[in-house]
Amino acid sequence: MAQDKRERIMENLAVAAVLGLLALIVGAFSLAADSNSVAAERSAFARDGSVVALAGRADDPSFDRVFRMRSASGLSFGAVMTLRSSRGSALVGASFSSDGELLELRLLGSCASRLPERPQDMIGEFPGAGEALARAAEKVRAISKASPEAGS
Amino acid sequence: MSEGKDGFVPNPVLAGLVGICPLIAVSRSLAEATVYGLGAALCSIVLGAVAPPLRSVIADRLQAPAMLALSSALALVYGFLTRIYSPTIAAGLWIYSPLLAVSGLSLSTLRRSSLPGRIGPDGQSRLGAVAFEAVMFLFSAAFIGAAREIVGLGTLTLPVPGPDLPRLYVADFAPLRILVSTSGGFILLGFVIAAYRTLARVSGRKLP
Repeated sequence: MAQDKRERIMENLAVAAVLGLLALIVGAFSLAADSNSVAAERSAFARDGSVVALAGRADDPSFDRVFRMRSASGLSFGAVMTLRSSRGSALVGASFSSDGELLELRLLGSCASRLPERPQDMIGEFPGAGEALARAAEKVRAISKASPEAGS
Repeated sequence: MSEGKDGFVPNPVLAGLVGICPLIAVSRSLAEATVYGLGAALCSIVLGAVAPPLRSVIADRLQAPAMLALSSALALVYGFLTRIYSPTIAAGLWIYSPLLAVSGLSLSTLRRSSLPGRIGPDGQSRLGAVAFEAVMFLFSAAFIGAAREIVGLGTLTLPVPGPDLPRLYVADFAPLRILVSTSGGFILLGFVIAAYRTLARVSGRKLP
């Protein structure tokens, strides 16, 4: 009886160790995907000689990160946002001023949706896009307020 | 162990339908459907290769959770690789990407691959049968995705790396937008199954 119990415990421990190993592998891939996403999003905003740096992370269904962009025209912020509808999804690069005003909306890629010609019209195409942009603007304002170089 | 009592899929019909549901949710375009179908196919093949040796190592009572955990881990890793390959396609797959674990487990031949012996009663390699069915799942997924996108939107989005996916315009307008919605996907799936059964009957196969 005691031998049987010990064998069961050993079995459970072995399976727990294998599951732990699987979790480590998944975690390693998660880190690799995250660093790749940061690099890809940074390069999406690095235009016209602007210097782009990661300003903060967000726990939002539509965007994961906010970038600070410094160019000849001044300081601005950007976030790569995912917009979804039942007909498809799109990745857009949204640029904001320090006080959260939307400066530009640029289509980076889309799946299965005939999108309007002008990126600004996409907000009407995807339900909830306006709210997502408002949350991003709020996040930009918070980062801008917390950062000492926000006003420069 | 009899086939009816083995592991991780309790009911093949229910499992098959559950496996198809996430495919219908994501197969709005050729790009999304192909990437999802490839993930399910790879997941099935890995599980088919791992199931027999796992059976001899792990106790019966732990086989079902072990296979589910392995399938989930494969689905998550594939989801991360999809994000690296194309963030646009990954955004399209969204919360359905982890459901690859279900689609990967739902293939009926995979259940048989967990039985003892590398060769089945029909004389075929069990892993070979899983691989064949996995490839057929991939082709079916790509077909459903392409058909829904062409007939629904008049476009064809190609599954290439990077965020900006090239799109072929087959028509200047969206012929039947309902096909791109999930309900339209199930309508198309019904027609595909009806066509398959008709062809199978015509060719003399016995169907349940």
